[in-house]
Amino acid sequence: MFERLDPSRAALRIALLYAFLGFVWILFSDRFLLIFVEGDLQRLADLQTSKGWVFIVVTAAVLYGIIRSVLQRQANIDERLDTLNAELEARVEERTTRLAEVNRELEAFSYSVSHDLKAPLRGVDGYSQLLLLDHAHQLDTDGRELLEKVRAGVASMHALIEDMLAYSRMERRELDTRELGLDTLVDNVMASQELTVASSVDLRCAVPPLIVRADREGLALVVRNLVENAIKFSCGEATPQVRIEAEATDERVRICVSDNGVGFDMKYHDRIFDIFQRLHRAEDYPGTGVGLALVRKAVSRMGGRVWAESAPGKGARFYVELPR
Amino acid sequence: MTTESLPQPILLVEDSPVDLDLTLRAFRRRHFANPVEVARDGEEALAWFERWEAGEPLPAVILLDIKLPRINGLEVLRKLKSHPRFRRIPVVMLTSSAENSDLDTAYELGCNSYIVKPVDFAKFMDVASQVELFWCVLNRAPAN
Repeated sequence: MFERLDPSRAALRIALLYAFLGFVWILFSDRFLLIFVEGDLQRLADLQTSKGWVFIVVTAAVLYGIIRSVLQRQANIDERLDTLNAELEARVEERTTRLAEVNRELEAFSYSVSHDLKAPLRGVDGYSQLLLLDHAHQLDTDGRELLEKVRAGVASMHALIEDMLAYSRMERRELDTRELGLDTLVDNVMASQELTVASSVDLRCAVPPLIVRADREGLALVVRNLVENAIKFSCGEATPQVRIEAEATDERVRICVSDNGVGFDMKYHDRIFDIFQRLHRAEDYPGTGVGLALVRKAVSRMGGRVWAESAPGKGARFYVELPR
Repeated sequence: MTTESLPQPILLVEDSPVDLDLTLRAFRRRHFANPVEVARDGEEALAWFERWEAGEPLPAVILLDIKLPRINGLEVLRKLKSHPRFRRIPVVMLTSSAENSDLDTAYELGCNSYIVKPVDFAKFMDVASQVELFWCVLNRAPAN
């Protein structure tokens, strides 16, 4: 509807118009005027002055027309742009509202999962345990084993629900990104009760005092999950070795958690970070398939990246890079 | 018999029959001296206000679930903690929700403790016995 002016073409048009006016003007040049003045120089001078005034008036009128037209066109484009911007903002607002609604629905969903799925699970666990506590003597060995299997099923279902909740929380919670002392944070994770390290594991931490920009809870979760992962997949070794190291480049801090465990084939290097993806059977290495997905989610939300290097039987090295 | 010799009751506000039964069983296994009164939803919990006004003994502690039919636990907590007399009754939120929003709201409304119900029954029994030990034996509440 409103074409944008091509500056070169518009300038060319104006120049051509000006040249045309000049050409016409030359037709009314001094020689032409001489026909009328019959050698009267005074009259020639008067006519030249009048001609000059006429030129100024005509040029001013033409310039006025051109500039007005250009500015009008620009004003129309600006008005149209304003309308489009307003429409765009309304659409963004509409989508933001919709996203907020979806977010609320997700929150309601995870709330429901946490409450409504855990309650019957508590029932199954509670009653099977009461059965074992109070009526074990009425059951034979097979009966007791079956009940233990029920309880093991409850425990893995519970772990799965908790991991799904942690994943969903990591997706929607607001991050509190700030400068953190990496060495202190890693020390705190190592000392926390949530991390269980068997005495057989040779766990060494060599993290220099580095400042990293991250969300404290998110980074603690990343370190804890990677260390737990390393312990889990190296527990079959005679001496499981787990190392936590870190170094800084100009803009990033790189954390490395390595182990001497079973490792994995590099063709799966991406898949291991997908949710519910597992490379080993649950009876060999128990888990829900959420831990590394949770790590990737947390790292990407903190503006970093995570990757792994390994070979079967050669241990694994997990790297996390975060801004300084 | 004087009222001092009677242990104060515990008011358990719980809608889930399974959780209610398990909690009562956990209390029984720990041989609790305190009688347990039960309210099955928010309205029943608030109805206790009238009974306390009428002279029934105030509970030593209220164990309050959050997700309840009709009036939810946070609303019950708000009404209780804005009551001139009953706001001193200790309230322990005993809920499945580990959501930070519930935790924050409950503390803003004045709950005295927030416990996420463990799925493992052994841990659940530990919670029941520690709640009883702390709030009914160790804790000194002001006379109402």
